[in-house]
Amino acid sequence: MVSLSLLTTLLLFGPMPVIAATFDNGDGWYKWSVEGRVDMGSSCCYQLRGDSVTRKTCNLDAEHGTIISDSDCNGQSGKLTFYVRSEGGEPALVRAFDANCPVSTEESVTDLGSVTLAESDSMLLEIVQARDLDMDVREEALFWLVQAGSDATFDYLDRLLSNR
Amino acid sequence: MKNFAKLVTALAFLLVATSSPAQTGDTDENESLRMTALEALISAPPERALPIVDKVLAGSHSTELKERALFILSQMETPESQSRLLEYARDAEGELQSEAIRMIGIGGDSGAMASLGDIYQGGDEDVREAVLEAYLIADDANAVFEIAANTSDEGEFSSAVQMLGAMGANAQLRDLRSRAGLSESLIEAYAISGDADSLRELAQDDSNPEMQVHAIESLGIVGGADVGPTLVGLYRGATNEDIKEAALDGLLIAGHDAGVLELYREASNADEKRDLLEYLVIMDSDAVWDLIDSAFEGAE
Repeated sequence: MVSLSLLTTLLLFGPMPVIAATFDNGDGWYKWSVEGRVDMGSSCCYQLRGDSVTRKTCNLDAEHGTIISDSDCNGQSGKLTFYVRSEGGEPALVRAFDANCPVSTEESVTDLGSVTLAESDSMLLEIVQARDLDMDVREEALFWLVQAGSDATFDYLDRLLSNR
Repeated sequence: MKNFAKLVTALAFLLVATSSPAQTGDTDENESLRMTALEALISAPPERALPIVDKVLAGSHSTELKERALFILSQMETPESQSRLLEYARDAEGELQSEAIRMIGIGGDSGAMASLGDIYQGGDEDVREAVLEAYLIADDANAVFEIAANTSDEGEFSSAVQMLGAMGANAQLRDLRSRAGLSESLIEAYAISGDADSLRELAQDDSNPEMQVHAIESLGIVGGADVGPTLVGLYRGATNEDIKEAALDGLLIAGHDAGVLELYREASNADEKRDLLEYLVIMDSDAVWDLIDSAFEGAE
């Protein structure tokens, strides 16, 4: 078992220890589920035609984004599923959908199962703070970190937006 | 898996507790993250987001970040957030005050909107401009009408009616004519709002020749299928050169070269034909080439 001090060292100075240890199944998508905020709304993909709003399958490989809907009450499961695409061992895309949202992809998906909010926060925050990663993926991770809405995340936001 | 879970949890607490987002001072990178963090708050519970937004606005952050914070505040839809936004609209200075006012227009909260009138009355030129923009954003034509109807300042009236024109507020503009009388800025507003009917009526009213000229020219701005024949008719019935010139200017603005060609063919004296031909050339009309061909063939 690795000592806590060594882990702390790795954490502060090493490149994404948790992510590196977790995304060890090659390139492709990695997913995990976590209990989300029940008032968050439903994150999925929708077809909008006039007043009609219909859920549709989210294609992970497509360019389109995600809508968080306040009106799709039946679609809310209270759980968020995060998808992180790994390329060359590094996170390249971060997306998140309601656990009920149908998702498709041509790529492989490694299912990390259900994790606690703290575990999910850890992985996302690691991406946010990885300065060698593209800013886009860091910002995606930060956005979804906030949507999951843990107390620790809001404490982090408070520090991020208070310091200058 | 259990040990791994414990490991990750411990690391999570350590990471969040020890992470210091701005260790090396403010950088573009941190600014970008701050902007994303702020924008992500738009879907956060207001009771969690408001204290953070407050800190951003009270802190020494960039104007751009503070303006984004004001936008987030405008979207929260709680009495506390709208009250805070109103405070900034009243008490902040410079661009932030103007932005807070515009954000009230974007949010559209009725209580906050109702307070804009007082802010307008007590504000300087920039504040008043921001209030008018907020009314435009919120599509509150009646509020702008009240400003126009109750001012004796020509500049203020002009700004307000231009805004009504941009809002397409034809009913309010027509009402202003009976209350405030006719003016060049009101006629321009009719043109901006596309009120061809009012302009057509004014174009045919020779009781005020100066305003009649403005109305005729403004018909060209409005455009539309009926405007060309109206302007041709005004030219034909013109009793003075000013009206003729205004009608031609209107045809030029509307791009109705067919009408100018029609008048050219009807014209009986050389001076008039020359003037009309000049307009056709300025309009880059293909008809000019037909006329040149006819001239060579001796038909003209």
